[in-house]
Amino acid sequence: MDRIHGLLVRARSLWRRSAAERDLNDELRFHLAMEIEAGMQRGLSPDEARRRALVTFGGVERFREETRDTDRPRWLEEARVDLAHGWRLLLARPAFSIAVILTLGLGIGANTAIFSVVNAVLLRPSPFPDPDRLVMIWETDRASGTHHEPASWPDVVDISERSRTLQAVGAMMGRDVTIAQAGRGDPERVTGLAITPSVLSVLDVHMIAGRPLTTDEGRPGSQRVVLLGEQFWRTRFAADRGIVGRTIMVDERPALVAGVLPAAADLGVRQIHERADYAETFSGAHADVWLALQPSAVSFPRETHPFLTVGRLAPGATVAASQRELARIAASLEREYPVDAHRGVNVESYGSVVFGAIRPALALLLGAVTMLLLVTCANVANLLLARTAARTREVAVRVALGAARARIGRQFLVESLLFVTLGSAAGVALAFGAVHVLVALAPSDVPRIDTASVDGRVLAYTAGTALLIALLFAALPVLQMRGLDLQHTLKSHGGRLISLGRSTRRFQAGVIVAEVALTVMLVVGAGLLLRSLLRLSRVDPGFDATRVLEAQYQLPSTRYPIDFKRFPDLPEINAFHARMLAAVRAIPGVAGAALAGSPPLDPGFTNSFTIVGREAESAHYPEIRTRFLSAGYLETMGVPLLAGRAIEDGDDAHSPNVIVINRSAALRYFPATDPIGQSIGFWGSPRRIVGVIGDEKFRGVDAPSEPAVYAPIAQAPQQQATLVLRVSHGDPLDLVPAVRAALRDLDPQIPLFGVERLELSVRSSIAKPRFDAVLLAAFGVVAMLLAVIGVYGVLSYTVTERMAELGVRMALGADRWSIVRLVAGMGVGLAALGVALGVGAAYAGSRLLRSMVFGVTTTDPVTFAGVIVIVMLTAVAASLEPAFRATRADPMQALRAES
Amino acid sequence: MPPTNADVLQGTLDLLILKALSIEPMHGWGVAQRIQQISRDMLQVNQGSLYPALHRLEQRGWIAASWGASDNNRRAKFYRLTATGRKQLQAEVATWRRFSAAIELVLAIG
Repeated sequence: MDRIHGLLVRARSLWRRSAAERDLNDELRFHLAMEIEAGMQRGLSPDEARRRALVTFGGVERFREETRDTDRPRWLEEARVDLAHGWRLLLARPAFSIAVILTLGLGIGANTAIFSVVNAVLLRPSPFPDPDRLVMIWETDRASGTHHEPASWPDVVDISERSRTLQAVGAMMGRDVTIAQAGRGDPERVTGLAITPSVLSVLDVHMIAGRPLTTDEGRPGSQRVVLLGEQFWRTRFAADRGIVGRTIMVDERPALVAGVLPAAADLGVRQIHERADYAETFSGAHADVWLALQPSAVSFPRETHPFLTVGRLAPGATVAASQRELARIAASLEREYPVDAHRGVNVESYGSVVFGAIRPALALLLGAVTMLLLVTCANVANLLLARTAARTREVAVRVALGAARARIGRQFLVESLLFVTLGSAAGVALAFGAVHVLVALAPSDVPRIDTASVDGRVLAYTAGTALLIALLFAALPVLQMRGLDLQHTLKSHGGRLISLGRSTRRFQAGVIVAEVALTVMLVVGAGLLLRSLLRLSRVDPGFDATRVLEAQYQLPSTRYPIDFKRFPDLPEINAFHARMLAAVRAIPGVAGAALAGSPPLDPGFTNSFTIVGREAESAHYPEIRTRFLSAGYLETMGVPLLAGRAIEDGDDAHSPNVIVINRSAALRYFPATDPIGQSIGFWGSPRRIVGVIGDEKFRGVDAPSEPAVYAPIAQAPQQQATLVLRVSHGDPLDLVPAVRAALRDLDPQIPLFGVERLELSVRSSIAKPRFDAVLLAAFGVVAMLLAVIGVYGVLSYTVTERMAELGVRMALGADRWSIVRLVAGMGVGLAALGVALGVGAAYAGSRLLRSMVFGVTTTDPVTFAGVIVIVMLTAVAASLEPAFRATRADPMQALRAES
Repeated sequence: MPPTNADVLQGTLDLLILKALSIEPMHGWGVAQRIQQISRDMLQVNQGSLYPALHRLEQRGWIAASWGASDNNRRAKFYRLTATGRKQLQAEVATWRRFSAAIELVLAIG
């Protein structure tokens, strides 16, 4: 109690210093007045009474100080003094201070920004309870060697019923849909996710509004029900809870809105679709609507594999145990059902599927930005070392006057804390801006990157980093001052710089070497990624994307039904596509137009197939990528025709089935024979090969070419179509209004979506490597700049310090060239050592980049040689100015200064 | 300047202040005068030690201070003993008695 009271009094006196001071003054003034009065009562004259009182009183300041000391904890008072002292020093050399603060701000800011992304993507808690128990269940196919195939519906049901290690199993698939609401604007194409109701119990997420799907709503023939994603609900329905229980039009048929799911509920869905060997389209970053899947063994027989299957492990079960159990179940399914031949299962933890791809990239960025921070610290450390040397005299005087070394150490700590605090503040301010840039720059398929922000955890991380740096910086001068020779320092001339101690100088050289080595590692990493980015951007995707527009539309089943009994003679669909194609070809400025089943660079899907006459052998072929296209595709896309003929307008539902294969398919399946005239059987009928065309890339430009077949879209009608248009000149996007108008004329209920310059789609297919490369390059450039400043700074200081010696050398006949060599040689020597160490470390460490480079090895000699040359040239450039300054040393002046 | 009598023994000033204030609340000057008076001018309180001591005792919570008017109507800071201060005084008096008795015993030898 006493102690608390005392603390309160002290605290009050510390923070209300002026008030306490006033109190004390008043109290003392009162005492003095009473003393004078007493003197006058004893018969003294007023003046004499005053004089005596003051004499008795003694030095007012002295005991005012003593009284104050009892009022305030000593260390706090000293800290205040140190802080004021540090602040004065900071203001005394503004250029130096700004350099230090900005350098630190850059390093800390970059670090904070990258950590914000890491925090948002990897560290924030999962939206799902017990996320470690979530798993993905893939099917495998030993015949084709695939490990990440979606499952068939009957397999999902059997696994769900027989498994003990899984407490719940759900199936999902992306399904873009058209949403319309009576009396509310145009129909809108949105990203949908079709799920079995059990998916919600697997994920175990809470609804924002309404209720989850019921088991009944997952049965065929029951009412159509949808859930809204939070973002879509907020933007399209203005977060109106009243929408729950109402009906909206989904693909032109009514569906009940049962509830609203939180935005985080779709975490990982995009990554699951990308991980799959093939999957339905999940086009956006988030699920706008969640649709109830109502599958049956009739609509989804065992031989079709469209379902992405998620499971929740039973309490106590492990992924490995589940894998063993499901392998047994798959083995018995294989015995029971011939179509499940060669099938197995692959259980992966949900987290590894969702974050597996991004984790190494983020680790790389965090590592790189930490190196950058170390480089900035090295630079600042060197600045501080030089400054401490300049302050040796100050320290010596204070030690001579009796200051405790601990006290001086504490002052350095307070000063470096001041620098680091201001630097961190600058860094955090920078990070707030940089996070937005990072999010904008980042590929959209990084999970929850759009939630990146500078939050409490990020600030705590930054504060921890800053404290570490401050302690480091404070330790430097203390170590530096340990061997301080008071006599020598105090006796040396006032005007001259005090030279750094031998150990300090060696330390400074070491810092430079380390800085250069780190820079080399960063720049090598950046170089490798940039070179592979260059390779990637030069990869021929197999088509010419310039001046090509892509756009998609989807025909609703209501008015454009697929009747399998009549397939492929579906007049509504085929007529629509034909009229649409004719309409866009008539738009002025269109040089070529065609339809395709899926967009270029979209993986689409694969099918099993046989070569007629080689059926036995064909049974072991992996599935082949299947594309659909109209006449004019090759001309529009600039895909070369290698043999035979292309798909023509006459290849329709009423003419014989034909097919075109790509170069890879021809090489793989017809290495010795002419494929033209042979027949391929798939989708239940033989199709004659009429032509061979060049390879297009289907799964991103960095994927290898793979065999594919192209069927006329009129012989395999699709409700979804991609329009590709080539313009003769100008921006292809200028055509969009005309294309929309053409579509509206044909059917006003159908929205156009996925409208993009094809060039941009190609570019965004390498967004991830570009993100890494651009960031690493930026870090590399900054590190190099800092290294230049570092080398320059140290040489510059050395030259100033050794001006006299250099002058004497000149006086004794050394020529300019030898002086230049002497000084520049120091800088270049340090840099060479740094480069050697950095190259060694980069050579050993670059294998970590193996999964991120394309078309170059991680020990690419061109990159390494280039980096060595660039860094060494930079070091030479940084050394030249101090070196030439050294030659201007005036011998006479040097000699005078010595005397 | 009056001839310096014994300056207050180091460490006993707190005891004397507490004792003086146990009679009645008073200001710093009053405390000094009271100690001088009671000791018949044997004990002189140096202002240089008085005010730091007063502030120290205030921080420990043994005395409390408030501003009021002095006899001659000046603004003065009055100190009074708190409950803990009263206990502390008893303890210190006991300690002092034991201490001085011990000194007496030593001096009484021979």
